[in-house]
Amino acid sequence: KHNFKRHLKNKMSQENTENTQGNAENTQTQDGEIDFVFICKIDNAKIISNILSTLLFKRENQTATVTVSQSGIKFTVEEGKSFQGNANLQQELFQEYKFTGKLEQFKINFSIFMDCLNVYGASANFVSLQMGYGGYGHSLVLLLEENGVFTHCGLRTLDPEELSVFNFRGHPIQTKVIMEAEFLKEAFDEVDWGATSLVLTLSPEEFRFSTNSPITGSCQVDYPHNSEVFETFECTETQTNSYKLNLLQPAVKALSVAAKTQLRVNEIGLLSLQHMIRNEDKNISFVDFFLAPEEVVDEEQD
Amino acid sequence: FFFFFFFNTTTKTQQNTYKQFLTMRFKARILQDKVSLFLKIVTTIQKMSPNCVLHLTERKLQFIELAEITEGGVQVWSGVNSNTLFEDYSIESLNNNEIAFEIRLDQLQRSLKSGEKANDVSIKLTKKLGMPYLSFSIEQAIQQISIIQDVPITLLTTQQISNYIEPHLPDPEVQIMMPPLKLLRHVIDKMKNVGQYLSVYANMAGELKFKVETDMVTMQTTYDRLDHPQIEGRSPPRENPDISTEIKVDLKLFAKFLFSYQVTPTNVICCIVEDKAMVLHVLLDDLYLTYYIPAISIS
Repeated sequence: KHNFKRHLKNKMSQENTENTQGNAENTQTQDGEIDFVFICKIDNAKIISNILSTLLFKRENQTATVTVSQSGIKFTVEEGKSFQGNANLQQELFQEYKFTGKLEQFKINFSIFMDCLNVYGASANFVSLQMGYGGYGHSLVLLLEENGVFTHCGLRTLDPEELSVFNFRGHPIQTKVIMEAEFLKEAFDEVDWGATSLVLTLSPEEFRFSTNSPITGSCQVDYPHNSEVFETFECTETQTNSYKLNLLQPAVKALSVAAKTQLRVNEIGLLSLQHMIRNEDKNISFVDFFLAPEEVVDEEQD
Repeated sequence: FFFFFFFNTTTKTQQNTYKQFLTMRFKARILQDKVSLFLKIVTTIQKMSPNCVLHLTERKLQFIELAEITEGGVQVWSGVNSNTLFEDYSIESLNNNEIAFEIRLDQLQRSLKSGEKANDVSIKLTKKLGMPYLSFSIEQAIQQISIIQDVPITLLTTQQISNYIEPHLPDPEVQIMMPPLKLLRHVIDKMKNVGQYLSVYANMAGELKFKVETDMVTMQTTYDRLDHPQIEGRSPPRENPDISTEIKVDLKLFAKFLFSYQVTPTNVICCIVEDKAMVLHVLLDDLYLTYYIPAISIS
């Protein structure tokens, strides 16, 4: 029953007068109400907080670039130029999705955004979410409701950073593996996370993780090609690549909320992990991660 | 001569204390199903200060944390009837059968924890090598062993006890019932990540708003349809949205007050004295914990 627009009208006008940056490119109606260029509403906020939790790897000051389009809203996180995570929230997930533009992109404090999404605690159920964006220079506004208690958040938006374009398909894909997320998680659980890097060796016969640490020693996990954990195992060339474990961690942690995952490596060693998440409302969402290799390890090397 | 006179006065005070000490007696058995409540009170007030004053009288037990010892000038005044927590309670002193002492809450907590699964927990005032202790005598249920734990205390003089006066503040602008603390904790925990100060707005029409604000983020949670407490002897509160007030307090301190959810209160009342303090009454039958959280000036 709560009128989102009316509730936010005051907030937006207040914010507009305080705002020093940016032009309000959206129209102002006669009575001073600011139109949102983007509004969406979902009855169960847990669905999207579950998906987006896969991108959170810093409790404080992590940023994310938000891209709003007709098809949905995408959150992108990066670490340097070698790691990127993307969560696509398709517009079908939402009970209401209205976007009057072509494309809007902005940067927000993602750690605080997730705090807002989880304001009623991780175990809260039946939290509804409404989000609104007034266009360049305006805050991202969230309204969360649980049992008649309302929380209103305004997050200042910043200019988006230029996102890395990984162009994964620009090089031939040499390995493609599809498996249950649980099985891949189990494999990663065996890895020595105290080491710095993980070496991934893929060939038509083998699937191997190995780590080497001067402190904790070396460790190797092998899965034979015909192991039943693999739903699909396609590999055209043998390749060995090394990846920083701390950059791998978010993608691995995300496996615990995923149902299935697709692991692919292209010719230049770029690793792609795409997780399929089954939402509470039975819809499916995808989160994908790209990780650049540390160094190309020659297969002749020991 | 002057030095001698000065020395003599000090000794006399010490002698008085020691004399009082010799005539003090206190012992009680903690009711078995109340050990955990006693422990919850101690764990709760420990969040505000590592020490407190325990003031025992014939009828009552009070826990006092003064502004001087707490962070941010918060005061906690808590009390419970002695027969709620104890049986076989006996107290004797030259000072109107009142005894007060300072005690470290972590040590008190440890002894109570040991007593949680016990058959019998008794406490008494003891003297060992001239030093006062609150001694716990715990009979373990399973192993059938007896544990004695002596918690050192610092006795307060009659003069010192009389200096402990609960803060007197003007009538609050607004009095309102708090929403469930356990749920409010989630909200405040998230707000702690945003900023340092909490703005609290309340009116006499059941509305309570908590807000944290920086130039990057604002977060505000609104509760409505809350009740207002009826004060004894006064007419019931009339709903009036025009009577409202706002106060700013330290967020971390407010979060520490929220730990009082542990005592599972039946009612929590929030009173706002504009520009001065937020006074919170946490109530469970005859147990009360009153928090005085100072206001932070808006400038």
